[in-house]
Amino acid sequence: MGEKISRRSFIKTGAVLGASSILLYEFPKKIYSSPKVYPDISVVSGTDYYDNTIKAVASLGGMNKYVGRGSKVAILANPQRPNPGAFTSPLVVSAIINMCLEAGASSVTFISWLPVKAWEATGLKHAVEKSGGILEIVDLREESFFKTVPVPEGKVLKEARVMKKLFDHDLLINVPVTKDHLGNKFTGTMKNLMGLNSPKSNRTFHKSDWKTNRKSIIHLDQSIADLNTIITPALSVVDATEFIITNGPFGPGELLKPQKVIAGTDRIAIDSYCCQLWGLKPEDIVMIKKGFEHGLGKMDLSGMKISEIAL
Amino acid sequence: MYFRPGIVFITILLICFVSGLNGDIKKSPVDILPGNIMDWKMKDEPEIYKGDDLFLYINGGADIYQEYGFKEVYSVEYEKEGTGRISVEIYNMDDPVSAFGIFSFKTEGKWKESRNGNLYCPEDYYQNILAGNYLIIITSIDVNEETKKGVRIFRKIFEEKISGNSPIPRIINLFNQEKFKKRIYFEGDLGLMNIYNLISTELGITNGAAGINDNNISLILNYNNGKNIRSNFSSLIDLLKIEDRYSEFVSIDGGVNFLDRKKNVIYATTLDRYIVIYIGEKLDEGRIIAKQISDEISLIK
Repeated sequence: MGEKISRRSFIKTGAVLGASSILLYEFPKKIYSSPKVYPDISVVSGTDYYDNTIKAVASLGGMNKYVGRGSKVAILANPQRPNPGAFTSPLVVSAIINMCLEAGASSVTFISWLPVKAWEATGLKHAVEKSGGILEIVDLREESFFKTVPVPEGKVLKEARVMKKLFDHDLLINVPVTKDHLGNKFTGTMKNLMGLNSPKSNRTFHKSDWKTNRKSIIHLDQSIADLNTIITPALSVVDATEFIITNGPFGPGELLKPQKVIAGTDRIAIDSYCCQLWGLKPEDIVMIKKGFEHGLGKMDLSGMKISEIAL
Repeated sequence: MYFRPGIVFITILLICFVSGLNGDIKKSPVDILPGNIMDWKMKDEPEIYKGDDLFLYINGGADIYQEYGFKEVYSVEYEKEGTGRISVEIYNMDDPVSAFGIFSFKTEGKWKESRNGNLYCPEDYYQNILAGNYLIIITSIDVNEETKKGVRIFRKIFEEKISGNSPIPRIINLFNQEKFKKRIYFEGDLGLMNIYNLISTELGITNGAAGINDNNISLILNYNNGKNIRSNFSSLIDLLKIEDRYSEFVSIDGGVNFLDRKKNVIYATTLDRYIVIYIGEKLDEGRIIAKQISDEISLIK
């Protein structure tokens, strides 16, 4: 038996529809021409990490805002170790590939110097290939795969050795997992870019003889910030679904599961948001402060538009 | 008497396995890594990284191992069809104190003692074991009940195969285990920075320990630089006064009381040959903790 519509509800519904029609009729141009204001950072939480990723990018205006038709997309994910919470989720990666392809990308390529074994062990190789992405790995010991790039604004890093393959692409999407890091206390978008620099060059970020005095610790953070001045991702999508908050970056460690995906273009703001997920303060993370000092983004989130959606 | 057949079977297997290996860690960890552990099969040959190459294995995670004194690591993965994977990493550190340091850092002092004198720390999906120079980390990579059970079995097996003297440094015992939730031994600035970002210049300590509770952190700093403790204390306070994050310094009972940027109360004093620093909410609590540490020093003497 169908639902009985009472006279009163019919009138009420009709009145609402009528009013809407008038409004649409009276002001159609105003409604449709006003520019949509997108958030600076989009945060989506929920148990389906694929959907979270889709929604996070959609909230920013959609992937076609960043990926042009026919463009070649390079993606930097983190397959460092298969320990729980130590690598980018394959679901996040799959969602990004699908969005890029739907936006018309001619290719979506994951570039890395971490061995294929790491990609296999984390399930990322399978996810990339199944979703139509390409995985290109270079030998981490072979310096000819890297190109010297001056770092004019670098305070301690004057030259980087960036993976040549990056320059074959039109844009970069940075897809780190945020987590604890015993060297920096925190890792997110900025630290992930070390994955594009040669391991030999990265080694210079850490002072010789493995000195771990204050100067060396600051040297590492400054080097990371300096590297970020020469590489600007078009978009950063951070996996904060499940990650380690102790014994990072390798783990195993205590797991936190905020089930969040965070997207945006201001990497300092995103890192500032992410570190607070486990009680850290951006001003206490030297790397974030150094990035802010370079003018790479905002540390103070109070004036930013942050969209938080729970699915 | 009733025996559960499953338990009897596993026990027999364990006994056969352990006695069959008859290994000795003094040879090499590779020699005691079995090809199979019950239904768990070694996937590939163990990977070995020595000295600086640790950077290639764990990248930026290498620094803290190097601060404590790292020699080599053996890494291997086992797989049980249809169940999942378990990884075993054996870190060979410079000496038992180095190994204890990284073990205390990773376990935050929540360890238990094994029958054979090893220390171990069981977590939900992984376990850390300390045996002499060795830190062994067994991890359930594909986390499920079967792999977690596997991790527990692996621990028993590796504990039988690897044992060693694991002396706890005196300085960490100055924090009474019953009064602190976490106890960490550190040997440099990086270890300390991960506990509390005390100072932005070089500290120059030989080693130190931290006792941590929900609302407070206490540090014991040890200097072996030939200077007397009062001289080291004065230098440290002078350095802290330069930092813009500390304020309201007041001398009190031979120590110094001040605040950090987050308005934590800090109380620093000297006890015997150590500098003791309390960071928390109440000055009185800091004094009580200093008194407890003083009592422990007297007991150990």
